Amino acid sequence: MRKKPGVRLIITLAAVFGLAAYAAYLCINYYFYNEYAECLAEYAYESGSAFTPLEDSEKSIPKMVLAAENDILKLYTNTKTTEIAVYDKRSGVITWSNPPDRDKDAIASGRNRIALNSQFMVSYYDKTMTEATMYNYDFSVERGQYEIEKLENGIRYIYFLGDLTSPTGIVPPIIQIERLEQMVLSKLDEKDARSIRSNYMESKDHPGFLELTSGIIVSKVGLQKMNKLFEQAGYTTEDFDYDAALAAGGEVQERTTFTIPLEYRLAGDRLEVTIPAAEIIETGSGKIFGISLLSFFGAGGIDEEGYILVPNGSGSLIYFNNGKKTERYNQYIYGPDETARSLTVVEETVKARLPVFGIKKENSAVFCEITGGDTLANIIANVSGNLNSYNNVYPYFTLRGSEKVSMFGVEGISADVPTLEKNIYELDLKINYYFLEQKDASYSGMANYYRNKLIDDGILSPGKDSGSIPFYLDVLGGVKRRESFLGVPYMGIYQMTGFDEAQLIVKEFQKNNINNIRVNYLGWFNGGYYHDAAKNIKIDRVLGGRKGLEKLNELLSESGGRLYGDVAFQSISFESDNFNWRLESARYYSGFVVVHGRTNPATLRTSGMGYYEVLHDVISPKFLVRHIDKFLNAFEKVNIDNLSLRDLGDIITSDKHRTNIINRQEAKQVIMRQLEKLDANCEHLMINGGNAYTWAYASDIAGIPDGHNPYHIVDEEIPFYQMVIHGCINYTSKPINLSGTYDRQDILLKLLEYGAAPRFTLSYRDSSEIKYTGLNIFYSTHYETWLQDAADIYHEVNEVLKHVAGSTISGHFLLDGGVRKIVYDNGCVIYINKSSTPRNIGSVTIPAKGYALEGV
Amino acid sequence: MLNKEKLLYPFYVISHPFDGFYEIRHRNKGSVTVALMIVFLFGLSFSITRRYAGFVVNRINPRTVNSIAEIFSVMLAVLLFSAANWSITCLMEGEGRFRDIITVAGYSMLPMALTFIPTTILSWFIAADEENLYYLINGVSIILFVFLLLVGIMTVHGFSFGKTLITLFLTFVSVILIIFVVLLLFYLVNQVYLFLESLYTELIMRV
Repeated sequence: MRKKPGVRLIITLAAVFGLAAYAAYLCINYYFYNEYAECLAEYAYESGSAFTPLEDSEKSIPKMVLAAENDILKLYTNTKTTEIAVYDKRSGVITWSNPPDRDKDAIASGRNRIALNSQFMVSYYDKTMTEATMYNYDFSVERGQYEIEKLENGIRYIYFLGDLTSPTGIVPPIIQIERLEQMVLSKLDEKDARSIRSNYMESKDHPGFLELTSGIIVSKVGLQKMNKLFEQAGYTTEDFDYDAALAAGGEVQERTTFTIPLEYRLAGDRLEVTIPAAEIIETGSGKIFGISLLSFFGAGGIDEEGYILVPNGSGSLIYFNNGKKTERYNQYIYGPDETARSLTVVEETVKARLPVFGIKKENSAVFCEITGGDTLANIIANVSGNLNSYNNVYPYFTLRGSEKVSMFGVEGISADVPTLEKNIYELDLKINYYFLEQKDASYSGMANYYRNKLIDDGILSPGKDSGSIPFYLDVLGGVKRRESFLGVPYMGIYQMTGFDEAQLIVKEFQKNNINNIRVNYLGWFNGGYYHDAAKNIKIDRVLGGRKGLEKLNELLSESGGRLYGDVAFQSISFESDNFNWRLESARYYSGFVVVHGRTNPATLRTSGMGYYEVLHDVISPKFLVRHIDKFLNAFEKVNIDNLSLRDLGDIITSDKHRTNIINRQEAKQVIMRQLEKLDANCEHLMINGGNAYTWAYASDIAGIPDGHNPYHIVDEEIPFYQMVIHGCINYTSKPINLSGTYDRQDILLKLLEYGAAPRFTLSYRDSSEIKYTGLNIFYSTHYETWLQDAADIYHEVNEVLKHVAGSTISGHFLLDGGVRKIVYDNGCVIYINKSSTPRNIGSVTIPAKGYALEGV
Repeated sequence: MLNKEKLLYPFYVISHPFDGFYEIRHRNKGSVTVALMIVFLFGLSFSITRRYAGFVVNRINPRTVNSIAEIFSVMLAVLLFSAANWSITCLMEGEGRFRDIITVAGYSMLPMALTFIPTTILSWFIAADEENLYYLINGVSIILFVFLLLVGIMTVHGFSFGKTLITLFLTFVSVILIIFVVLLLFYLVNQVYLFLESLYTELIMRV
């Protein structure tokens, strides 16, 4: 049948219109959507004035000039070496940016000696895309290429890093005959002119040019003499560059140089060190990708005693000169970036969740917090003996994303093409150094200082809760399970625990005298645990629907408990329908979207482990804003008040989308703004993971580090994280019934030492029902099995910790013989004996593998 | 078009194979639609057996059964067999048309399609020592299938028994050839795609 032309026209028009509408929809909703930009921070750059040393009433440090002063601190600097030193007026202790006795170091030589003299080291890709490093000492300070500016409360050094000289000095290796005559020879007397002329010969490759003879190039003395004569003739570096350009046919290879400002400011009892990365200037082909800052600030010498605090999981100490010089500590803050994370995991690690580190010496301590660029930082710590005689800890910041992308059809090293982002991340790298007095010079002092600072900033508020500690109960609700009908498989939702069954479990615990139950309901909406993208809320009907959830909420809130609804915003399962994974996911440089799964403990590879729902994309921070807005809209109509965030406080991902790169620091700003919104719309937030920036919004933190990574270099495991937040935020770590080893006494001692509440993940039905699902990690959750144990553990822990609920930890001490002493600010003292023999501390006897409570 | 006669004809064929297949070739008694329906039914019953047969006779993990994929593979296998057989018999002066071959393959499956579901139900009631009954019934239907297929191919092409065996062997060889060529094609297309993709990646990375 032939169509009439009119019909054909209408169909064509409709198709074109449809396509245009779809394109417009995509543009508005995805490509041009940038609401996230409102969450980003802006940075200011203070203009400096000419530097003049301040009047110093009492010169505290010889050979240095006073740069800034306040009631507590004096900032000194040496304008020749650009090192700084901070003098603490309270104690008279001086903290140096570079060790003052570094010249006597017997171990460091060559580059390591330069490192000792440097304030920072930049890592960059050079012209051939090879990684290289530059220290600011030999490429800037020694060459006198730096300026000093005065700021309101401090100073700024502007370093100009780069090699401006050539191997021949200012003597051009190739020069035009006329230029040589005109610029040099005519201005010198005849004898000198002749001697210069004799060192040049006609160039074979460049007609009309003269070339230095090979004899003179290798003769140092001869070159020196020539340099002097060229200078005498008034020949300058600019002329040299001009001649080089002439010789190269007009094209001049610009030299690789970096201009980097480094600011020091005094503010109260702290020193703020800033690198305004937006002001970094690169010339030539060098591309900075990282910078390590003040590597030796407050470093401990080979004959000093003390330790380094590193934020390894819950926290660790590295004793000075512990001899473990073959390894260094190096850990990403908040874990590696999701877009940079390797798909093979070599070891199971606990993330560093705090952007802090510290150095404790005999009479003083420096505590350091990274307040800008924390998400881009790794903390690196070394002990003496390997490269130099100092024990140091410092941050390394990633300033520009880079990745090696493998190319198809190429083998070997050349298959990896280094890919670099065009621009340096524009942000302020900022470190605050706090100087602690002798009485606070310990990790307890650092924790106290940090907590007090956070309380002053309004981030933490102490003493909210007292009485019984909470009992954390994760209830496993709906689970995605493959069902089949006549052999046709489909994804169903299996009811592990319905809402009324959850009530039953809660009532069982209440019968056992546990009332402060905080239930985190896993898998309650949009299709179970691996739920559809959280843009809307459909409470799962198999579990009992809206009414059931409401009743459970009533039961808990009337009996002193809380019901949290668990939601994952960032990791979005492959089973999700309501998610445009091609457009909304974070991407790699190569354009592929980020996909993660679970790590197989046997093969160490990340995969879905055979279950599609385990695989997940990671949402780009760009679209996180919209997801959460939509979620909150829907959440208003749901009758629960509290949310548990499965991943918002746990992972931060950048988005390497080629045309719209969002770095990790920006991602953090976006996440913090979302947390603020969520906090305003919920009564309480439970945050899983608990990176430090979530503290202001969390009333409970689950899954906080319950130990450190036992790296070779670290010596002691300490609950630093817990010491900071105890009494301000309730917390718990991993579910006890799913922990790898089950030794009841060990678990108990850990809970008591760390001040953590117990947590269990339970379900109404037996875990064997979900053996063949992506949630088979929950292998032992049947509530009947655990009810009695859970109640016993809770009561035993509560018996001790209820005395310290709402109090802060004012001291934690490692005593001899495996005994740990934890002092709370209300006077309670808990002793933990981890050894297998009873110990006596004063009048207190602590049984083997036991604990004692004092001061109740 | 489908009518009662065509729908019931397969039952006539399995009871009178020589006459039945002859009339398919020469009197258009067969129907491709009916044949495909039988193939579909066979695929379904095959899947149901794997999924639901009692544990005494079933060693398959029921979670791994995906009946849609299985029905689809059975269909594909029939198509592949028919195409291969057709291409061989064309060269060997077979009289059968493509539709005849499909019809033969489909109609021969009727005994299996009929017995698999009853034996599955039977398997729920038999004890460990009685599984021979189950295997006997299934075995008979499978042997009948092979017999029908042989007779069918022989009849529609007008071959002797020996020639049929030879063509079936050659059919088997050409099935393997077809699979090989198809896989090769997929591989090459994939290579071209990968090349273009890496070209794009390299362009956006380096430029």
